[in-house]
Amino acid sequence: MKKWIPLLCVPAFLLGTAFHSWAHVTPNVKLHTTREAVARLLPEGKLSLKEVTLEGENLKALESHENWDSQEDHFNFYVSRDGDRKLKRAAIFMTEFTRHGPVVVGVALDPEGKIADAVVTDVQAEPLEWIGPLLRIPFLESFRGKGSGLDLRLDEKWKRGTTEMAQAYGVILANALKKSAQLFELVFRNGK
Amino acid sequence: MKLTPLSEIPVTTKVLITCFLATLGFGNIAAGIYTAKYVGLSYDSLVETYSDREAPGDHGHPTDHPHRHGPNGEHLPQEETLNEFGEKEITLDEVKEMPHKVGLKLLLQDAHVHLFSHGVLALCIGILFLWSGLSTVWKLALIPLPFLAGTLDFAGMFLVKFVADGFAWLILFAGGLNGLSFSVAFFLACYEMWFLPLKNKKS
Repeated sequence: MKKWIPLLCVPAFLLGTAFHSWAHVTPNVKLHTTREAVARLLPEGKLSLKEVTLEGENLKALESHENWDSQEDHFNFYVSRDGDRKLKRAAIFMTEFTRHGPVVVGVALDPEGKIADAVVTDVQAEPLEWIGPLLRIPFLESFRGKGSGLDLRLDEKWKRGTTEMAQAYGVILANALKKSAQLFELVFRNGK
Repeated sequence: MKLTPLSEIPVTTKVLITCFLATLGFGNIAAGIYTAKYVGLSYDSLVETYSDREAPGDHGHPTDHPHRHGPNGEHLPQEETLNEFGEKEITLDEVKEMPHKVGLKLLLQDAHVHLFSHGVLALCIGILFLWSGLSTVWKLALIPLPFLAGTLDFAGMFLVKFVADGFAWLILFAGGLNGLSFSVAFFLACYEMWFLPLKNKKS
């Protein structure tokens, strides 16, 4: 009997290297690079970058929102301006940290702080199964024109034909859009 | 403590243990196929998932800083010039890839949830080793394996995140230990329960 234990060791060990999947966090799937997303979200105008670090009163103002749960305090806004230096759009990449890993949503906002466009750039392999169906329907597009006051409760039409996990991730995506609009208001409209 | 050898326990208990091992085995096979198909069995995929460090060439800022030359010809970083809005004018080519992070909160949550359950599974596998007919030396070598595997697996994730990408090899090694300890427990227990009694009868 003792002979087969060493014989089994090698293949068992090699097969077992697969078992780090127990770890629950699956690798990132990049749906769009940052550059591709910026090109799509800010198709016109002169591009610039505004780095924002949240602290003090600004951080408190955002944390007073029930939905604000960001683990980050540093954000980059990509800004497009027209020839008269007027703001055309601003785009931000908002990371939502979920139980199955981070989801990154690129959000473009118009000068009024309303959502102009949105795109999911990064998601882990496992939650992609739930987010994927939402990307095949005009779910993100339905938020266009909405601002920081958008309702996180999913419309009934999005609940039909989607699983509970997809609906949960729908709320997560909506929260990323809402937080982007809230941050935009703080930075561009309240004059940080 | 003297336990009834696995070969002599009632058949009902043998069936219970076999069902447990079969279920665990199915779970492990499914995990392996899922990982191979959707996750990736590589060092690179682990580094990409857990590392907080930037990829080569990434300077941690969204744009490159072109160098100036000092009086002695040394390279100096370009000073950032901000416009009246506090913005740095850039081109699309200067937009750098956003770093991707698995948060500390998620890692702690995963470790908390998985190590508790993994500890119970490791205990069950350890009991099977304890119960086997192996010598004390073999038991002492095998019993810690499943516990070590789970602990090193999660330790590796934290080490990749906070210390060095090279610890991804530790995660792979821990996975191997996991597979090894389960496989040995599976075959050892099945042999002692179902084949050893037949062998003893023949002799």
